[in-house]
Amino acid sequence: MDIYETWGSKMKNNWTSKITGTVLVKVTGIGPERYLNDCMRKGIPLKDIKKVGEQCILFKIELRDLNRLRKIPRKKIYKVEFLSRKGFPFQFKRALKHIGFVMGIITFISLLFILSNMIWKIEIVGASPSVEYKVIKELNSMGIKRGVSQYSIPKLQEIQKNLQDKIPSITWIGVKLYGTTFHFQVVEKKLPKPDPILKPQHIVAKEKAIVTWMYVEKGKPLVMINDYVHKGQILVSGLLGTEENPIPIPAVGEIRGEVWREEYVAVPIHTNFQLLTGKTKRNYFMRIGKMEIKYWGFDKNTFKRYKDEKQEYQIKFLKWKLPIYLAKNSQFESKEVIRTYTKEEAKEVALKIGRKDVMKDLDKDAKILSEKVLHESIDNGKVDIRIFYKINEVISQPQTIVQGD
Amino acid sequence: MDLPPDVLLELPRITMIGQIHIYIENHRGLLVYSDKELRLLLKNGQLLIKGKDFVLKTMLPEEILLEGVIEHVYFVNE
Repeated sequence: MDIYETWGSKMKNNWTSKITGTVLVKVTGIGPERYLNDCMRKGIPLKDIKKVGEQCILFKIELRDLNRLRKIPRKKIYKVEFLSRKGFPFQFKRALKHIGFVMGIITFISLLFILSNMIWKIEIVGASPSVEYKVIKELNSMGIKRGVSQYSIPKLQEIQKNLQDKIPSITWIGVKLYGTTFHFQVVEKKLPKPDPILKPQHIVAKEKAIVTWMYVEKGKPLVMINDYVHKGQILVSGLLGTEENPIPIPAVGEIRGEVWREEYVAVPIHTNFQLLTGKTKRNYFMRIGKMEIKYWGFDKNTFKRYKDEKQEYQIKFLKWKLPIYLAKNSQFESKEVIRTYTKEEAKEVALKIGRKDVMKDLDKDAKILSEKVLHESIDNGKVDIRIFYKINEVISQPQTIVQGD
Repeated sequence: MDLPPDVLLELPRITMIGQIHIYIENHRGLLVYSDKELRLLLKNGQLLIKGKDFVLKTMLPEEILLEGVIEHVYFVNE
């Protein structure tokens, strides 16, 4: 077994010799085997011994054994030559000749090493701009900014603790270092918004209405459901206490009421339309100043009716805009269509338009309770309609109590 | 004490792997070497190896590893 082990160790020598370096030796003379025996007696390991012809032997030795080989007395019958040198020490010597190249590689690797150990980006996620500014300021005071070496910064846990301690408006901050990027995940404290501080106020009616629904949170209600109210009438008073000694408070509440509107709508019976047929022609050209060069779409425009559309794109070079434009001219074929309503259809459309119009200047939660056509006539090819609406909407509106009255 | 005979009698220990390798320990020097023949001196007599494409892979004091196509191994006792 030990044989194979020693054998194995020799195999290992094979690749270690690449690092230590080997020398190819040529021995010529009568009976070169004697030279090999001399080496053997000196204990110099030889490798890859080849006999070339009758009086010539080639073999390899390790670089470190070269001096011992030189000590073997050269009998005159031998000629010992050192041919080629292989392995790292020799490659290194050769590499020194191309010093610029080697320096380049070393500089590149060291630069890459230095740059990859710096901080190049700081990302802050989840913070409002003001908190983000605070975090950045705090990081700068800790010495964390762009272009700083990663060795000079404190530990991640320390950064996290520091930030959490110093910025009270954050609940938690996650600190992660991805390569050269610092990633901060901020969770802000959500403080409830304080209620707006109300001044003493009444609640008055926005317009004349019949009260249909009341909700009073604060204040003294002065009206009841089904009361008719004028515009500006106080619905909920903000003055509590006795008449001689009133205590002004902000009245809060919501009052809905039934209000009235009138709309006038005119719908023409015949309407002309331009409809697009879907057929298009496109011309592409380049424009330099006033000169236009067409490069695509040479069909002549054969459409009787059409819509023109022009799109231009100015060509940019880096940050400069060039006076060259790429333009696209499109012609969409259109046709004229006459739409005709019957009287009933026109009325239907008018009612729809009326509903839309009346809702335009009302709140979103307003509801049309009922509508009634007051007047209807056909005049000049148009259907004229006057409509009356009953609407349920919020009629309350705050009014500040002027102090000192 | 049972020492192996190669240590006791200073005999060569020869290991062969098929025809391609032969490994000899306890030799006393190289007499003739070419790509067809290797003659080693032993304590008693000589060892003659014949074959083709011989290369001495390693040569250490008292150890030799020969590579090639080994055809004959003779002990020459004179």
